[in-house]
Amino acid sequence: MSEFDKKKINVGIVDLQLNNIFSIVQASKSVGFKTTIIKKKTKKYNFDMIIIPGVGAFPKAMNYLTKTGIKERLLEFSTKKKSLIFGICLGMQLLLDSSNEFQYTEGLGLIKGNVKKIKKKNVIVPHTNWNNIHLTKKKDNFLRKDISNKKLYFTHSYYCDPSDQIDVCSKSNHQGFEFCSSIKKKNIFGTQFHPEKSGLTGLKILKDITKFI
Amino acid sequence: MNKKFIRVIPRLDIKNGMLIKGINLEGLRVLGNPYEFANYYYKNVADEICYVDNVATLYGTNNLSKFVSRTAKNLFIPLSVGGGIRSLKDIERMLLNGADKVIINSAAINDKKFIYEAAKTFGSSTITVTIESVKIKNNYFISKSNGRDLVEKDPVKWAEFLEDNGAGEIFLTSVTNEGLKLGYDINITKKISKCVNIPVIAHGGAGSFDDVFKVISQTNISGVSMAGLLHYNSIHNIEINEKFKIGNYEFIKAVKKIKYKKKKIHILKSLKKYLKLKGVNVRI
Repeated sequence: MSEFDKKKINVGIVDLQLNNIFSIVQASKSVGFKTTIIKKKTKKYNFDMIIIPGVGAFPKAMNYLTKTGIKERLLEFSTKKKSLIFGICLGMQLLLDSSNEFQYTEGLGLIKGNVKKIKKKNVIVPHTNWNNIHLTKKKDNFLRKDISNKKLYFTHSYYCDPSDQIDVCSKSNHQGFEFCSSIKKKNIFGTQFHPEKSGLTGLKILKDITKFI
Repeated sequence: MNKKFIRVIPRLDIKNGMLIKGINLEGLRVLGNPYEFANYYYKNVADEICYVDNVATLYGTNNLSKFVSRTAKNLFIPLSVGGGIRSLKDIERMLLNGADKVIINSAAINDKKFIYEAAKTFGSSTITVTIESVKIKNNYFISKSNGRDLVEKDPVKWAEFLEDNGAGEIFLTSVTNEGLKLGYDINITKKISKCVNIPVIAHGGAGSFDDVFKVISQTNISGVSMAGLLHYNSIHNIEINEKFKIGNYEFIKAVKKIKYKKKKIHILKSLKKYLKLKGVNVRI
């Protein structure tokens, strides 16, 4: 941000009409963001950052984004300068090419890869728990080194499998099942864990992300 | 086997907007304001907060949502909410008010398709089902309406049914042990946590740190929940407003006085430290 631009960071939060956006709105407010809820395709998205939150089903969410025209606006926004898209949980999964949840569904395609079901013998699904993350790259990562000692909150049955390992920022391990727990490609960010539900550690991640705007 | 992480979940039972605690889910006593307790536990590294409206099913009302939003405002950890949730609309209302998960019991027993529909609409990870297990002469049954009505069902078979229908988690309450502080029902917890592949949370009967450790080390659970063990040992750390109209205000004041000397002890933090020393993977 430039010197004179010390005003509040303007964040749009996509309401997928699936569930609880209350938590992410509260968390955003608590770290000082100005929040606006995106429910439809308005004229222009004048935000610094757009958050796609959500727990829920991939096909239903994608269908909603397409039907309302929000998808089109999001894709436009992703090409804008000084803009950032941050997907959380299902929101992160939507950033990828496609998912096999219930049926094959195309995603936003902002990051190459697919969404798959967690499947391994004796592994408890959904993965609903606090867990550690292990950073997989030093360069171009938005998570700090000291995050490795902290625990973050996850709740999901599907996971992202990006095609380019260079996009993967961290991995996590659930009872021996390893999966990608965060991604970053240019201005597109995603976490499988919920920063808005991970106590102070999570709030800090949410705040730190805006340094990349 | 990987060392699994264990969630520690304070359970707050609510009646008419007050935090209460009973024995065998009955004989309730008012302890104070639920969101003050919730906030205090959040600051003491609770991994999740569980709110249950005790009389919702009995009276068919649902006042819980306003407490939910007031609590969720400052709570940046998961909040699960139960009591009187009967329809998809009820679930939606709870989620809109800031709950991350809903806890269902009676409605799952009354309508066999309800859990399937709920999981399909909101996703499995949002749907937790309570199993109230009741032990009578070495036989296990389940109950509904918060321990009020016995249902002739085997809890293990019921757990399998719930998993097949998309439940994302089982909150297992031992009605028989609840409030007695004699320990969890290890036997039924072991059976259920072994037969399903979804997370199981054990609740009911925790009287000491060792009780909590025992149920973790002897079963396959993902989390432990407790109420009295935490609440009675936290009262002295929670301010009560004199204007606050509680019938047994004098009782609470007396408890506060006895425990006053222990002001610096934070029970939830101590419990987690104890578990960690015993080799359990917990968040400190």
